Amino acid sequence: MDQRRKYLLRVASAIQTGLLREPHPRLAEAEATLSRLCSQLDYLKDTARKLALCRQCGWHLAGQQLLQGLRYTVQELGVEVTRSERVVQEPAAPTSALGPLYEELIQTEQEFGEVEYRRSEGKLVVTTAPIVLEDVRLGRFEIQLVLDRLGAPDQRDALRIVALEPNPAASDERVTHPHVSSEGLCAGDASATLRAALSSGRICDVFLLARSVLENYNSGSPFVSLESWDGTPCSDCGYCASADDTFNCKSCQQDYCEECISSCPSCDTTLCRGCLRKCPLCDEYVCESCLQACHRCGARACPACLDDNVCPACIEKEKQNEQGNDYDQQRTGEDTRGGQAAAEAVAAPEHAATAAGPALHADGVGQAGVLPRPRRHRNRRVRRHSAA
Amino acid sequence: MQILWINNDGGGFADYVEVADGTTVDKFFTQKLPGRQPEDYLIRVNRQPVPRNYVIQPGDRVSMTPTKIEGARRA
Repeated sequence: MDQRRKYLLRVASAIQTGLLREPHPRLAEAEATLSRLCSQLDYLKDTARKLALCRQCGWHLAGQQLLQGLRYTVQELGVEVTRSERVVQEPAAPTSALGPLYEELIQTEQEFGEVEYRRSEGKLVVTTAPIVLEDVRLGRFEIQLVLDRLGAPDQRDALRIVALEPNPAASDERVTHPHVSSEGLCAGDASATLRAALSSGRICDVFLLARSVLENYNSGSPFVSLESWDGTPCSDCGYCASADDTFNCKSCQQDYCEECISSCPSCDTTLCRGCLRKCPLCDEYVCESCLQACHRCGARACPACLDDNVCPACIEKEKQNEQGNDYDQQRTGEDTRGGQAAAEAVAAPEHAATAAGPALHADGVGQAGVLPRPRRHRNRRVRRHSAA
Repeated sequence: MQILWINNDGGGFADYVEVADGTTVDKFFTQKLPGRQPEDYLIRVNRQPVPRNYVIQPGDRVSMTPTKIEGARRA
């Protein structure tokens, strides 16, 4: 017996050990199948409740999205029901004999060129050809079968997908393929088929099915879409940034990079420069809603420029008006006293030039000073403008 | 005659099925997967690729595996 054949027989034996780890495979399969059925039914019950709520509240769009999400569940439900029927009615017949397992390995070698048994890790490994999906180069992948998970009821983590030339998504380095995250394959339509192949020991079919998922792109349900694989382009400069370095403008809802995004200094809302407005008074850029109108004149300004919703110009005007009123009052008081002095001066003209009193405007030496005409006290009304 | 048919499209079940004598692989495919294209599948008889006019023999193991399957992300 040649070395290669001996080697493959040893590997087949290791696979057999993994498959037979579960002492009661039929019970284990039935338990796993029925558990999955129950989970799917729980999900369907919850979705039905949400659909009823959407109908009551008129949330038609939300209802449509719920229906879309049901697609895989309903599809898998049909498959799981059929599996449950078979498990209950027929005895499970996994391929655990050494001969068929050996033949599985021979076929795997033919389909993939090479199959490697990593004894220390307990893994059977094949490598795909370089995968390119929609011009995005994802490189080669190792499909690793963890042998001691083969016989587990849920076969969780039995399959690992390792990128050999990783080109992960810019937004999440764990995603090395649209349907692979953290080395776990989300098999989608192949899930039920993969489980059947795993539990039957059809090793080659397991690898072929995994490769079929990797070589196809489901744009409806990826971890990261290929369109955003290299990052989200900035709506301003076009730079492709990862999700962590991309910011969404709260006004126009577009995405921007760190360099092009800004914020309102008044309310701290994240906004792009295009959605900010310049304060005409201080030239600071604030958001539209922070630009308020002055209660006096209606001029718009940022909160920093307004004082109690009044612009500096109106405040200044008010001050001037108040000063003017004070001056008027002062002048009126002075005029009254000056008038008396003038009257006295008229009554005693010889004393006019030397009469005590407020300063008189002297038009000429020797002449009586001409008193200024008393100002009439005007009643000034403050105009109020409604806010713009 | 009876053969073992492994359908890796959908449920992934392995079943013994009855096939009429003289049935070719191509005809068998059309019967079992109507509306599908053989080019989209890996068709193996006894673990080997065969021409589409291969006549199925008693006890043959016939498997059909789609080459493109839609993956997903977990909800």
